[in-house]
Amino acid sequence: MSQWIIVGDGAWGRALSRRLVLNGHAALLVGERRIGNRVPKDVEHTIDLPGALEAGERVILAVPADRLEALLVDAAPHLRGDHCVATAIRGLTPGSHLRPSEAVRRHTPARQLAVLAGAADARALRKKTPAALVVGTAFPALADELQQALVAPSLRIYSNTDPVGTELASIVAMVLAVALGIARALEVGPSTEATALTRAVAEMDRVVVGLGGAAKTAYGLAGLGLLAELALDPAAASAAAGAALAAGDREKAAEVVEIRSAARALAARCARHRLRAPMLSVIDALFDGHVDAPTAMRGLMTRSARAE
Amino acid sequence: MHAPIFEFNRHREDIEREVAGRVVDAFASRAGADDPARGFQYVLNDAAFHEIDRLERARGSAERLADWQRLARRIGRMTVDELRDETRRRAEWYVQDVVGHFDRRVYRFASSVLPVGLGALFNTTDLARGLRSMRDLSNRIRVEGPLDQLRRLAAMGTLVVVPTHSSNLDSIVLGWSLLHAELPPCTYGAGKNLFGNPLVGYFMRNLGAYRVDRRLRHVLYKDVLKCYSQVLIERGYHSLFFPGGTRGRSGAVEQKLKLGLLGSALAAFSERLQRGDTRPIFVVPVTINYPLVLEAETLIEDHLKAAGQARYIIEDDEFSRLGRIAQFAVQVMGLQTTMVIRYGTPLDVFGNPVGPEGRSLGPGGSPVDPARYLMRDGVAVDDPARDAAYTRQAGAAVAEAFLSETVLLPTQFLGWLLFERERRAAPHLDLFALLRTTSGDRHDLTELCADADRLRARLAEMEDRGRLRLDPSLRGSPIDEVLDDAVRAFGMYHLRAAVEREADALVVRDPKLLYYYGNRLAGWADDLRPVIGAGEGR
Repeated sequence: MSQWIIVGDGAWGRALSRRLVLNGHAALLVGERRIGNRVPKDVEHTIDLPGALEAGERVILAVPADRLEALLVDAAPHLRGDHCVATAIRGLTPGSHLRPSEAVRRHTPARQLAVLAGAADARALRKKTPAALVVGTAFPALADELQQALVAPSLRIYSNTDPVGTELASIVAMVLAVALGIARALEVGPSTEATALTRAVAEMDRVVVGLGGAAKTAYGLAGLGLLAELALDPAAASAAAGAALAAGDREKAAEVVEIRSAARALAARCARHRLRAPMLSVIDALFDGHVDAPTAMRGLMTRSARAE
Repeated sequence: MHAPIFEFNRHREDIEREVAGRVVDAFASRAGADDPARGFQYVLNDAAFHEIDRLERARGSAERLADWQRLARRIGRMTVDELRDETRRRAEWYVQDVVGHFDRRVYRFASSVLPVGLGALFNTTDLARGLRSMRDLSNRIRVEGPLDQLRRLAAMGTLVVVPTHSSNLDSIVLGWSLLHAELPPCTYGAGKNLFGNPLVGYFMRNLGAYRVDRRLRHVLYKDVLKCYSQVLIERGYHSLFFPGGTRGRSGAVEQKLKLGLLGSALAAFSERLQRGDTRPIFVVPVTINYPLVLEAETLIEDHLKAAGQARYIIEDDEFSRLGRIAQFAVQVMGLQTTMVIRYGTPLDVFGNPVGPEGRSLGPGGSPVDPARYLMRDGVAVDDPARDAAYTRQAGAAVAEAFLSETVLLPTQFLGWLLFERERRAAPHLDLFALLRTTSGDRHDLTELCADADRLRARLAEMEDRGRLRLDPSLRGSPIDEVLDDAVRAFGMYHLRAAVEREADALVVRDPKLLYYYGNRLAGWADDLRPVIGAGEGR
């Protein structure tokens, strides 16, 4: 049995902590305020971050990307070389545009890092519907520990050695799923939706590799897996954002802060690296109100011909 | 000054025994208890295969070839004990081939003669003036960085100096810089081919340098080499190695580093901890910044050849011709621009910066205990895969330091500016077409100065953010003087000037050299390109 510290007591953090407890581990859930009876059974809850980090060295960060850097500044003095930190966060930090594990590396002395991503959300874990996650890390022992700690008959945990690609694929998939949400909302039909899905996968691969990930990671659970999950789930946040953008309701679309913020950060990062990412650019422009959905789709369709 | 290497000879046999013993034990443990012969069979087969392949193509090696062929035929029939003995015998042979030697008398002689000799070489062919040249040399080779801190750290722990590598003069110039900065001498691995130079080879053989035979690619030799460097660091010998592996061919600041010897520093740290030895190990990135590079013409030719790797060991470059070295040195002394050897912020073996008192620091500046990185649940744990990942992270920190501690000089500045203008003027041409067709292109000085001003302003902003460094001659002088200085430098040493001035224009003469020197800025190209205007020069 190991002691795990889960920082972030939202739905995802609570689901992960419950999963750990069900596997016989001790889970200490850290939040900013008391959450009363929403604390999962047998999980301990605290608002004392320094105390929690002193209590164990296995840490999972499950906070929104836009709150991550502030949290890391608070956590840094209490993190040591023997802390292993897994990030279970989709998104880039606002302003600095860092991947979550990149932010951990920049702001803290922790070096044993992992990324937890894939086609399973809090609801799947809670309801124990069959799903899968992937651990991306350069530290095999940490991958093994996370696999053993989280695995269940309803949850498969895969691993790879490409944390950068895993994290990027997950973020790009989340943003590109908005395009699929728009297509669905515009009721353009299966041919258009299939085209959007296929081109989204190609763009995801290009961006992941262009920003430092490995070639096949985009086609794994963190990339294609998540994109498919979000495309198939009408209740997903990306579908809601897509529907709002299709209707020209930017304010409602911007309520999905993580997606909006990730779209902006990804578009900026792609521009800086001169990466061709037309769908990401269009989604960013839609959030900004520079274009409406039908015009954006026409723009994408009338680009010059190129090889697949 | 006392340095552990002064006592090297007294411990040499002990070191040899320890290295051979550890290498043999490692192969035994890798095989596992159920089949103890397997590890030895693998390593001997691998060594025999590579040695036979190499020796069949080498001249005058019949006896050694026959020895390896005999071994290759016997391996399958040997008992475990015979395999172990044979592995030990071969490991000992390689250790003796690698191991260095230190002669205090040669060091004393070199300490007094090197500055004068280098001064004479870099100042004038007149030896009488060489006696006065120590001061002149200091004016022409600037050594900078946190030198007081490094002297303190050298006294409390072990330095592992990791410089950039662009010339075979690097080890000589760096040796001088250590002496000049009152830092202790380091042991270092040098290409075995360099020991063939009678003068340089003599000093290298007697000043603790160990031989690295890059032709040997088998596991046994690599393990001996790695273990030797690790044992030296463990025993407190200040060490130096070039993580770029070989001289950079393209002129760019090295970013792809070979991590094997950096891994030795981490392994030595771990081993020391397990023995209760708490002396720290400090990794010191160093950039060597030449206004002109002795072997520039050969290196860039090699880089441009598709099969550049085939000439991994170049034995017939400018370094092999003493006349070219002397000519180079004389011309470099005539330049207004200095050569800069910049010692960077020291790091621990995990890539964390080290503070003035030798403590590892986290990103916020708070102290970090490096021993914790090796622990699990409060206990030190052996985990080679983890350590390999740590070493990659430390390598990334060194590569980052190579960029931020690079001191850009006028020749590199002008090289990048002109080549980028050429690229802008003909975006449809690939690199090789540009290199073939741009000789003779004129760049109007007024337009060039405007671009140069913008480029320098951008570089100055980047220097202010700690991303690189500008030599004062580049940052502080009027821009036309910067360009004049660079043009003069380009005209002084190379067989053909890279660029010449004609009336109110600069004319490209050797695009390859411009490309080579300009590549020093390649690591920041994305930030710099936008400030260059459309190519007015064509």
